[in-house]
Amino acid sequence: MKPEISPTEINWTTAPVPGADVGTGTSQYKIALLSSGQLINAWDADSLINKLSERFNRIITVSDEVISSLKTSLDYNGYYIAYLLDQLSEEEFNMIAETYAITLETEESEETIEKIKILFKISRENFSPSDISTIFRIDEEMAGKILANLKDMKHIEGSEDF
Amino acid sequence: MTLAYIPPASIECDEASIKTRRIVTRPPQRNQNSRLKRPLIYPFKLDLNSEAYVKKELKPKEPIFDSKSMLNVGDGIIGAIISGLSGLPIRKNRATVKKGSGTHKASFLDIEGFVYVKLEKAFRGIEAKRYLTS
Repeated sequence: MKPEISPTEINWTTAPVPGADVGTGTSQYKIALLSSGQLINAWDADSLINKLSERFNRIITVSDEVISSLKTSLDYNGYYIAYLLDQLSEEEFNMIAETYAITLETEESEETIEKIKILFKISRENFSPSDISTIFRIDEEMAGKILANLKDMKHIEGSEDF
Repeated sequence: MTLAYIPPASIECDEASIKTRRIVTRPPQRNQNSRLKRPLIYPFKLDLNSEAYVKKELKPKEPIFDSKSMLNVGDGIIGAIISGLSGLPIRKNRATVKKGSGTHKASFLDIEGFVYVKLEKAFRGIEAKRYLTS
């Protein structure tokens, strides 16, 4: 069992630390997490950096997808408002709507569930199934089922796999 | 005539009467349902307490998106959030804003060209009651 530590007691170091050798890693450096001089955990520097970099890239990818979807919605709604204000004819609006049309994914995949988990981790907003459907371009029924399964937020909070 | 206040509930019709305080439109989607003869469908969300009723029934009177959808004239769904889609974009100059409740005005409008709407979230009081009794 890991000892209770407060953030001020945590000390990151890349200096050689007794007992910090981890596995058979070939990295020249180890990164150790210490509390009051006591070793809490140690990682091979290269593998830890790779792992963190992979997580970071996944967050960036999801953020990019979310921003892109929301920007598309904003742009489309701009044209829709123009149509409602009589600045665009019905024919013109229909042609523009065609260019914004999206095709929804109807097959549930682990990747989609992963993306939704990441979105909930990086945002404090409440997303309804229709929001999720628009953002990730998936079927709304499917979005509803995924959200129902993820409703226990502890499951998301506790997930180490993203 | 059936009114539903608790999800899951939906209506499908040729024309629907809507009462809402906020409409959020979303980019159109390519129709993947072969039973609906429309190339594009236009999703929307009705927010801040909304109602939707069947005004004109489907011909033939068969559900397209959900086999449990209510189809009769007067059937409706009432709740905090309603989401759905229509076969045509919501047209301009359709909404009338008038008194919708004791405290708020609301938009009243008809949506045509096939409408499928479902109750996404019940009124807060109903949700709380369901939570307490479940």
